[in-house]
Amino acid sequence: MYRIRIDRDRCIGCLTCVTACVVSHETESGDARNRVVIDSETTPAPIFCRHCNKPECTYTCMTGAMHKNPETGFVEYDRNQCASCYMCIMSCPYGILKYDSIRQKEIMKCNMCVHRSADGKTPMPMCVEKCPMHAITLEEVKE
Amino acid sequence: MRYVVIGSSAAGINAVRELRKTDRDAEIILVSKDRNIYSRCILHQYLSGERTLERLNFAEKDFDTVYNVNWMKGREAVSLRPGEHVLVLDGGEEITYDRLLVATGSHTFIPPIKGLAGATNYIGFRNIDDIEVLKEVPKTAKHIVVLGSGLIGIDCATGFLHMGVRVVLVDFAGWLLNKQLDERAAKTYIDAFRANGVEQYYGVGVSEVRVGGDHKIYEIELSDGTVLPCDFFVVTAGVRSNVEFLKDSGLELSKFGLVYDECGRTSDPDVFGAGDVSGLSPIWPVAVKEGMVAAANMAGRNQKMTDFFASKSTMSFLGIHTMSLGMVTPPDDSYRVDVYDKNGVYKKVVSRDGVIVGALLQGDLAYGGVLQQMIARKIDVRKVKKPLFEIDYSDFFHEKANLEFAYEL
Amino acid sequence: MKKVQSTCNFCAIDCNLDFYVEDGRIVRTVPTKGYPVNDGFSCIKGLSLSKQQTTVKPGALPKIRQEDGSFREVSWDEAFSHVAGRLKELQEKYGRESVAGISTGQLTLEEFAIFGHVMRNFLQTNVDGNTRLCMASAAVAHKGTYGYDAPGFTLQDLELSDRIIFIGSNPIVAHPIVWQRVRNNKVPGMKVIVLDPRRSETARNADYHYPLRWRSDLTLLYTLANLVIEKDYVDHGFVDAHTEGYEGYREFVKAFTLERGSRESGLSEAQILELLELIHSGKSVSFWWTMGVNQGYEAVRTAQAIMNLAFLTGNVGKPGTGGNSLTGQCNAMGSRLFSNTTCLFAGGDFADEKERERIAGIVGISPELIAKKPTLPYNRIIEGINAGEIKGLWILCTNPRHSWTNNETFAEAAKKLELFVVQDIYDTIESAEDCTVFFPVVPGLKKEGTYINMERRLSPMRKVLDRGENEISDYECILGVARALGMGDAIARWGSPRECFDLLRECSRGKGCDFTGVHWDDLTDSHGIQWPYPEGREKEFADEQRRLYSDGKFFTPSGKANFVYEEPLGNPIPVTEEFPLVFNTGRGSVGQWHTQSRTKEVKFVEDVTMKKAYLYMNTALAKERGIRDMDRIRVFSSNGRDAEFYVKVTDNVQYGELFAPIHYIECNRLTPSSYDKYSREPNYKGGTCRFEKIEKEGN
Repeated sequence: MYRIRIDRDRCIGCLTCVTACVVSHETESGDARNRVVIDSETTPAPIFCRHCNKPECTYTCMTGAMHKNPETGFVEYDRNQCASCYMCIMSCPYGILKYDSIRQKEIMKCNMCVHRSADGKTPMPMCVEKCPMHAITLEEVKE
Repeated sequence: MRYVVIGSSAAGINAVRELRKTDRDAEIILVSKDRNIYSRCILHQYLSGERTLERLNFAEKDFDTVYNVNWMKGREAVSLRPGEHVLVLDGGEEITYDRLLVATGSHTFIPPIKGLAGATNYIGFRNIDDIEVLKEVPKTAKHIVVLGSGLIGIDCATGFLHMGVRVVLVDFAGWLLNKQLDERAAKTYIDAFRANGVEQYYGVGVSEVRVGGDHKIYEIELSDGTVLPCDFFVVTAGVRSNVEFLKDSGLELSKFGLVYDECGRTSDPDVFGAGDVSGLSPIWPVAVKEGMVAAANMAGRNQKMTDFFASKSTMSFLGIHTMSLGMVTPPDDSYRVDVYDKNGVYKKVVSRDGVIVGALLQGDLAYGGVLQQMIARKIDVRKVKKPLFEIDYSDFFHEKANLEFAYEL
Repeated sequence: MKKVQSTCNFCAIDCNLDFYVEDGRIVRTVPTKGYPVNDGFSCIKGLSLSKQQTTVKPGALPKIRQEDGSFREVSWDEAFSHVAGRLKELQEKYGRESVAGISTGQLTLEEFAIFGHVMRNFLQTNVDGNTRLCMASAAVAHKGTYGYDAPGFTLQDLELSDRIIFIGSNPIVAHPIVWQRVRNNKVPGMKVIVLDPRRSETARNADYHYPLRWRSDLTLLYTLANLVIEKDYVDHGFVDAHTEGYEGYREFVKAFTLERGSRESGLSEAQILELLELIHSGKSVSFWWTMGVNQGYEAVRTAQAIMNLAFLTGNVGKPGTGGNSLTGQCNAMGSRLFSNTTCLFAGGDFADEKERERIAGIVGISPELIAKKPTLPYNRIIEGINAGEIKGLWILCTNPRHSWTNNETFAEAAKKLELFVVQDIYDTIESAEDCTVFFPVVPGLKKEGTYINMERRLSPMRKVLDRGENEISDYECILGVARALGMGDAIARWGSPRECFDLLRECSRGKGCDFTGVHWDDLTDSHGIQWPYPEGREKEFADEQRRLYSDGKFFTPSGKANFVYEEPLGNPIPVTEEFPLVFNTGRGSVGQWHTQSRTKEVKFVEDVTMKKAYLYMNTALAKERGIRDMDRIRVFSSNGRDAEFYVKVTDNVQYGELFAPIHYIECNRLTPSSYDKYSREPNYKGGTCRFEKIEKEGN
């Protein structure tokens, strides 16, 4: 499956990836599905959904809205099935999830921008495309 | 190999998935009282009509076909003979198994309130059948009283409110959602419910229900003497594990429920347990994981349950969202409490000696998942130079070879 | 839900964005697809415009400081009368030029224009702007070389050039969309080359980085010119037909031998020759400079030396070429042309009688009242206040307490003023601390006007949100004071931004920036229109991405461009034993704009930026002095001040420099009162310093 490799040494905290995420999804409310923060040593840290092999968000979801696609390995989110219970927000060990800031109903969940591809399955993350420092790159990994 | 799983909720369904993933060819039989797969966590959305039964389904639509399962719907397990590997169902039918998973969950506990035994107009809030009854209740009842203001009681009150029906809440605890919230966070909900016309009585129990000649409750008396009209009574004052059918099986049971280890093994090597049936950590993610772990071990793979952190919950009622983790009310002054309370956002972190033991977030839950890790793993956060409410993963950042994250401590 | 297309008012790229509004709030911001400048993308700042005034918002009514130091909220009429009255009083008492204004490069054309009309024409006094801190050097350089302040490029040139040379420019941080356009460049064999003492973010992603010594750029450029001529890499056809002064230049640069160039720049001779060959081998070579050039003590000559190189090699007027200045602020171009500060509206000379009459006739004032000379520059205004000559100051949309060079001199000045009017969207900016009157005005989302971006593109700002009670725009505020001043007929034609636009359009007739073919409504929901765009010739100028000088004709009387050059000055602030390090300054991040007045409200940015001042120090230097990452130091500047900073240790800065991001007030506390001779732009990057470690308290 594909994951986004994060090279913190190259990250300058320019937030182009965050901009790309909002633009790619034309997100209402301007929320992004990724985030960049600085750590206690003030080094930027991009924190992106990993589409984990053992996704806590999926285990904790009681409507099936969060589920792993067996073909692509991506953890997908179905906003129509979601009950906005926020258990996933609480369970993501890396604190990546939040709800949208306008209606607080939709979970901001990375989908590897598969909506940008013709077949709806190929990952085409805009964040990776736009990063000026090549700090984030798309790579194929073994699960 | 024949696997038999009893129970089609969080633990049972995920166990079946795991079994099938591991073993393509084994025979899997799923026995459940439920005729449909549905999430008990959102029953209130079914009550209010916000969601159809179909949308309560958290699994694949044609689950049994997808996973090649012989699903015996609407069947109840009545006894077990582990020595013979025989499970007995209602009507006397016997099923043999190689490995069995008990994921029967729990049922509503009806407390021994004076007068209740003779009444007919009361029910729990646990199964779809309960909700089918409750949907009709407002047509005839004018004074619905809900005993218990835990998550289920509040789910019920909210579901009714969505239909325009105002219930009365009664709880012995000092405030609603007592296990999860401190007084300050609870107040937001109490005020909101009150503003919506929901009467609430805290610090009292129900000492008696008065029943008329038609076997229907018409009023209740609280432990402080208050008398309230009541023509329907919803009981959400706790649950008891569904282990009745195991009483003669010889399996080890505790006062809470079925006993099993971190691999899901009971006192019998071929009988496993998962989910609410243990009575220990009755939350969804634990049931899911226990189901998966038990299934893995049933199929010969050694896996252990590692996530025992169960005092965690999120809720959203009347547009107010809260996340509760760990110990939100410190028992004494040896704990440090950091509070942020402004503009509808209330955040509280309880810690001691650099370790966070509890957290409450109300009004803004963004990125709260990290706090769960801090608490569950007992991470020393003194090196983090941010306000405790804003702790994030960056100080523990580590990317594995396969690009998943891990905690670097 | 309604959709409004408007222009971002941060940097000079002027991205356009579609704002979707529902129930009085912006629910979605989508960078305008198909807009020639940014085509569906932007940086985090533009995307976050909707965050303005969501956490910090002053009351809508103006306030006047009382005797006891507190503020009293008053009606707009009272505030206008008060300020008009005080301005007149001060002028009567102390002289016409005892009041002054400091404008900005970030308001609309119409707002600069009306401010310039009121202050410079009617009140006959001085107004400079923060454009002085940013583009003055480029503007003066353009005028000297081209005969008009007319940068010739269009952003598309970034996609067509095969040698993109950034000099003192760091687009990854300062102009993110410029860099995105570089990344769109598919020209085979394209190379990105960076000249910067620092290994900036752009340098790290370039094909070639030349880490020349600070302020050796002019020498290096003359050396390159000399080499181009020596090796006869000159495009003689172009030079003969379209330039003047080549012979003099050729003689002049002879003294800049390869050996001298190498010695002074610190680059090896091989590196210089490599750079030369890169330039020569390119088919469309483009040079791009930003503040690394503009904010120096011989900035104008350096900029002109860059343009000279472009001329020598014939890289002008063709796709993907040019000596191009990347403008800083969203409307710096607009303010250069229409603020009435350094030139008449549309660029004419104050000394030109005929032109003054023409302008007077258009704007509706007696020619006598048109300003007769260029304004005193910014530094002279501050010095004038400190010297007790200027008693009243009106600043808009700028934060000099933080951003003025050697900013304590502004702090002193502010305390000396009898009238200090601050006009801004926030009353929390540092400059507002000592004001005597505060004018709260609405942000760009609630008003309309025109912006001109770095490639001469007129872009529309249109109202996205409705105003609350008593909320007014900068334009209306200035108009209010104008009426209270009794301008009467002189302000009659200036009733609204739309009316003002028509006046300015008329002023542009026949000038280099002629945009008589552009009407207010043409700009709404458009792709913007670059000047020139004269009435009647719209078909000729139909191309949406146009460059100038394709015909080799310039704005000088002869129609030819000038080679302008001068012997390099010695560094007025050389490093010394006492102050052995260069105090280099510049943009620190994409998310922080300048003084963070607006970007502090953007959570994305706050999450990823340091709250306290920091600077970068070279690894070897740090090791020598026992400094580790995130230690604190006290920096002593040759300007006499000191300040504390956190240290980030890196190899991306040279041993002899500290690099301090401009977003923290400590930075300009230490910058020098030193200016380019011709442009009077501050030498922000030319300070020197030393430092001491601050030992941690306790353990």
